[in-house]
Amino acid sequence: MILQSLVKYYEILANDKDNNIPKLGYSKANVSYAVNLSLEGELLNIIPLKIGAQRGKKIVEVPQSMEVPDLGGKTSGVKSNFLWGNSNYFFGIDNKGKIKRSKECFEAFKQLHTRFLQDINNATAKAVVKFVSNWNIDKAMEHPALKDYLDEILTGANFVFKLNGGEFVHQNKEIRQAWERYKSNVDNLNVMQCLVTGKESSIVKVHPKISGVRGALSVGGSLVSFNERAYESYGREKEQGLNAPVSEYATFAYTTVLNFLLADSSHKLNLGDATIIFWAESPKKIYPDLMSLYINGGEVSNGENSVHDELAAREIKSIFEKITQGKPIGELSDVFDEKTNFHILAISPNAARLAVRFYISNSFGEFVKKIGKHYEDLRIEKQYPTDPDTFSVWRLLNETVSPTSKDKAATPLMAGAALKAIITDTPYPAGLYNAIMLRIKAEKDISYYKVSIIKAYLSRNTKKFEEVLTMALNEQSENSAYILGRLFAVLEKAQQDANPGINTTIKDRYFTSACATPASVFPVLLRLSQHHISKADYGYASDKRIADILDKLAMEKNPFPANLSLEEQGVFILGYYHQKNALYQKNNKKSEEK
Amino acid sequence: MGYGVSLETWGDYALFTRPEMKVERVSYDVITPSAARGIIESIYWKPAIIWRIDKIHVYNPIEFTNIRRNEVSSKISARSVDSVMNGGAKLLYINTNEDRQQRASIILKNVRYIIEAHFELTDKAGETDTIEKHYNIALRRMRKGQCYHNPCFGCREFPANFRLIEDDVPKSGLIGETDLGYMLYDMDFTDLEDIKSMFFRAVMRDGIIDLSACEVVK
Repeated sequence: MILQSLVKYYEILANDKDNNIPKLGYSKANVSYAVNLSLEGELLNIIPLKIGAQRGKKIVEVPQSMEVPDLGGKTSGVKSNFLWGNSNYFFGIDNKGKIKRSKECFEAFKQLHTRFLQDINNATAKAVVKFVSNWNIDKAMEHPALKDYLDEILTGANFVFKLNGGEFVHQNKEIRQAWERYKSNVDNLNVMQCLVTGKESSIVKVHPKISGVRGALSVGGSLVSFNERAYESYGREKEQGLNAPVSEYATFAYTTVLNFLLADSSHKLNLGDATIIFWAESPKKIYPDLMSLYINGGEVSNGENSVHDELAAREIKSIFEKITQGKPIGELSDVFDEKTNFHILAISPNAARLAVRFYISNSFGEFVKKIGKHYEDLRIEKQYPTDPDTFSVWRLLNETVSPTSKDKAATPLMAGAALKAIITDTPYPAGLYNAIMLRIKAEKDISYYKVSIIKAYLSRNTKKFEEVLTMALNEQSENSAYILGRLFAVLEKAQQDANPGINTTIKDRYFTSACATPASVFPVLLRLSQHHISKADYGYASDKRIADILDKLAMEKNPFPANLSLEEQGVFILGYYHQKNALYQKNNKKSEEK
Repeated sequence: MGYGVSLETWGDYALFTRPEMKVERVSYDVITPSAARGIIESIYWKPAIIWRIDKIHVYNPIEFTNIRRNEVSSKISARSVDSVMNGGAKLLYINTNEDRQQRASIILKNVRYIIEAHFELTDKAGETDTIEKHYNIALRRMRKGQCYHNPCFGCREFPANFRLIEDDVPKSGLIGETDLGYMLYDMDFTDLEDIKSMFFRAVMRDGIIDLSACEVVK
């Protein structure tokens, strides 16, 4: 289904006038100059085609991306392109001093164009034929039209033809038609049934490379390839693509659209080792725009850094809350339709190949609902007012990594599994929870983010602790792990009241063991707290709080268990977080009243 | 069609590799007709009969998971087997330590299908080969759980359990029509020099893929 839906998306884009995705037989090339010819085939002048582009703070001149005829099959040898190429092919000169090779290049260029264009009865075609047959390589360097640009021309920049300063030769209608006729008639070898379109057609042996996947080779990787005997079937040895018959058209369409999607850095996501792209079955850009903002929890990338855009986040939240609650989206229904099919594809590199990590299709609205459920599960009272309402998947995964670690990436397998759980509303991977618990025990930093993740995991993966999986403190809960967590927060407060500003608190010393083995730690802590209470100015307040919480514990039923399971430890942490927040919020309110 | 069988088959994992993604494997959404044929043939097959798959009922929602595993990169070459048979002294094994390749796979989990199939006699059938005979052997073997080799879902490491359904085939809980795109139907063995794959447009209606009605381009 992956190739099918990519081909389908290609067709949607190709039929849309606002998208300039290349047509079959063409590809994109970066073109710097146009060679202006007269009707007689004389070189008039060189017209720069570079355009300004923002690179950081500067504006630099970059070549223009143009749709040019594609002969296919790049090689390092001499092979001329049709109606575009560099100075070797156009003028037979370069700055490397390989005169012989440059001549060969020009000869190839000349032959191809004479052969192809002489039958076309058209002034444009004739001008090009005249140019290539009259051009003198030996005098090329001295040609007045080339002189001014010589340095830049020789660096390998690409050229196209222009006629009398008017139309580009490769855009001439008759030449294009002739080109397309030629492309559809070439080598109809290897006719088989295409597994994408289902039609009998010419099959591609080697699929073009896909670039833009992080961690893959810089020349790109192949999604469909057969490099070892074990992957070939039924005697199709060394026949590469014939093992999986994909027609030329389908190959062109899926690779073009995949490269197009991967080139758009604002709509792709890097998680773990996977690169994630998404598309809707619609030419409108609003779908990927909304989705990338949504998955990123309102974080927008401005070139290099990602910034949390509170306004955008809120706006999107309100749209998506409507979708989640099944309310009409109002005016926005003109802009997008929540029933549109939406696809999410995760690709990860493996040497020269690309492997599919997962591929999920659903309607846009369903995706929004499922991701909304994830944000709902994460919701918990903020520790500081500056904490964001929602945070990105990237942030979530980053919480599993040690802050002192050199490699700041979460394990790839878990990253993929976590994202998949989020977009399909299925249980989170246990590895995520284990990693968070490990970080909490190592760092003793019970942050908003980590507690949110614990809460999300417990609410989605277990059905046991519903009463404590609340936004804020639930004083009524009788869950012993939760009460113990609360007790720990109160004990810590008693110590802080007695010794304000001390470096090492009971949290640093005892949190891990209090959480895992309460029976061995709490009696010690309770005895210690008596000293703190007697020392502090308002010790009786802590004393009362401790007594209130101890009241909740069922003394006859083993109030301090010897150990807590990993899930109960999560509940303990929730209790601690809730109670601590409640203590400090009370303080804040008091100070406001004063 | 009077001699059709219904075989329920289920397992924890399945991998019906797509030809275009068989290096870093990705499974089809449901069992392919050729994989279904393979399951039945592992239970009963003779040169005198050929199994045809009529319908595939899908019972569990389509769910995927990822694994990474070691595969080998080479096959035992037919030529060296040939030369050993003729007395040559070549080594006939694949050294998995040297040939190891780690590859990712997207596999199906928790699958359950009912395969409706019938068989036809081939031109290899002799005088004693009657439809009734083969039908009863097949039924007996399915009832007793006998098989030549353990049937599997696409790869040998994903075994398939099976059970003969003698009552009516239960209704699937999957509702609605799903277009699964072009799927491998089977290989075309008519020209052994040039074995081609055949594809069909798989459409699942209320959990049923009806192969008798589908169009296979040959």
